[in-house]
Amino acid sequence: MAETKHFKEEIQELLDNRLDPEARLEVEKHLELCEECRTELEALRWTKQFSRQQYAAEAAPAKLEEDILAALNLDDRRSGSRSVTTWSWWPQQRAMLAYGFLLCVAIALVLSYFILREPLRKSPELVSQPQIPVKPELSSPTKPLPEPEPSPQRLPTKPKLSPKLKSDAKPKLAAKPKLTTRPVLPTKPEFPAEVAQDYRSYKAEKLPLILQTEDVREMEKFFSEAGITFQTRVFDLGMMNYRLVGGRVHQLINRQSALFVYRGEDNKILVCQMYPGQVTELLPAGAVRRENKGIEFYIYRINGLTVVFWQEGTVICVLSSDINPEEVVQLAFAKAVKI
Amino acid sequence: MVDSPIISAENKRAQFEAVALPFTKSIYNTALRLTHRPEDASDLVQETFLRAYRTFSNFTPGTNCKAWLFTIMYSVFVNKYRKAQREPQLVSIAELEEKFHRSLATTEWDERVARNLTEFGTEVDQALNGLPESFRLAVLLVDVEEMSYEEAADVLQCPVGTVRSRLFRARKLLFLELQQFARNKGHARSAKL
Ligand SMILES: [Zn+2]
Repeated sequence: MAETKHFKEEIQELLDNRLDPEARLEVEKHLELCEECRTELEALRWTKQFSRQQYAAEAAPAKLEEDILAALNLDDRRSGSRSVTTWSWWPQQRAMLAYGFLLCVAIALVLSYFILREPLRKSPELVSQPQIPVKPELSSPTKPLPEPEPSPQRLPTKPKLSPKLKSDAKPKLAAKPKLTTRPVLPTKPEFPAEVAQDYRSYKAEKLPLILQTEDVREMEKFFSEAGITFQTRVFDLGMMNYRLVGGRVHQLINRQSALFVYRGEDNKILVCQMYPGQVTELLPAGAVRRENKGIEFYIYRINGLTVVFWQEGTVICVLSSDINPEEVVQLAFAKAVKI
Repeated sequence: MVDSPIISAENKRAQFEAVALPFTKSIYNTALRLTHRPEDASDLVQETFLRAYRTFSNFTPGTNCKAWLFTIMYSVFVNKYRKAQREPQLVSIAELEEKFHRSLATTEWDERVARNLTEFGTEVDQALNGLPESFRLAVLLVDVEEMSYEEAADVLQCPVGTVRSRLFRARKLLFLELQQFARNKGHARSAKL
């Protein structure tokens, strides 16, 4: 490698996702060949990650927030404004509007389901395969399910919401009976297909998000409060021009999953899920395997979708999207952390 | 109604609490790592929020509230809390690069080091505190608070390039500090056994 020059600032720019695709490719090419630069990148990445974990905010003193509120009260009085209640009318009004709207959507969903479902029952042969590759247990009309109300979309797991999370829960949907015991399946459901299915369901607006937020911390907090038992790590993809939209506590086959969604330019959608397990045990054959920063990635292509799995500690992370496959892979590379 | 930039007196308080208060923890964390004293940090945070509240009508809903609060905090800090101090003599960038690469070449650093380091809890704060203030801030804003260079530059009222170059040095210095810390701890432990 004596003839090539090493990168310096570019390594930092790569780490912080500030390179344009062309420059990025050039640096990555060099990194593949140059151990010195690779080691440098790894050391810097490790340092960045370490700071994020070690020096992040824990709790402020309990009294601090009280003190702030007291100072604000004093200021309110001094500036002569009427005694302002903390909860003015408009958030409530807004919450009620949102609630009503969600209720309508939920009812519409339920109704449309019954309408769409009718012909399927009468003449299964005539119904062409729906656009969405439905999971095996739902797509075989010849094998009616014992459950009287199989839902074409995923049933939301019971949202153990803290009261703070007000209007975003969809009571109508949540109240539907939950498939606690799944019917015996002709074939074992597989994670990549299920993840792809969830992506399509979300895109078809059949997978409601329980909390809508752009704030990754708030999302993580929601997951822990909603009963996710493992540590979730909701990525900040702002540098890659993806905004967090929100998430839900989800069920992936028989596992509890934290599902969250990002939106980028041109309405590009990414769906990420995290669930407990080991990729080596749970993933079917057929993956393209790629290695990056010492992490093994398992890439599946399913009907135009790209689904990328990797392991983080005891948790499996998966990123799915219908955008350019390499972009999905690169996003996974950028955000995966070796634990 | 929601998108209206006009904040009436009626809902100012409610909006402020909803939009700004969630950042108390983050602001306090950085304030503490700047002042090193919990009482100072609490005062600094209180003053920050009070000032923010008074100028809240200037704040455009939907824009970056976190960066705005950090900007206020940093300016209060600079004007009131920063002790007259001289930044310690910095090693030259060439010297730093040399040290950094020597460390990469000679020490075995990997995830095991990270795990060992987290065992020491707040003791590892020493490594961060060892950095000059401007470097420490770059790490706190970009790596800990995950701000963009642009946001950090807004907070620090400096050019984006300055953030970049501070970060460039800061991470390497911090890496060296952490290595040193790990090595000392490693020695201390093997001496005990
Ligand atoms: Zn190189």
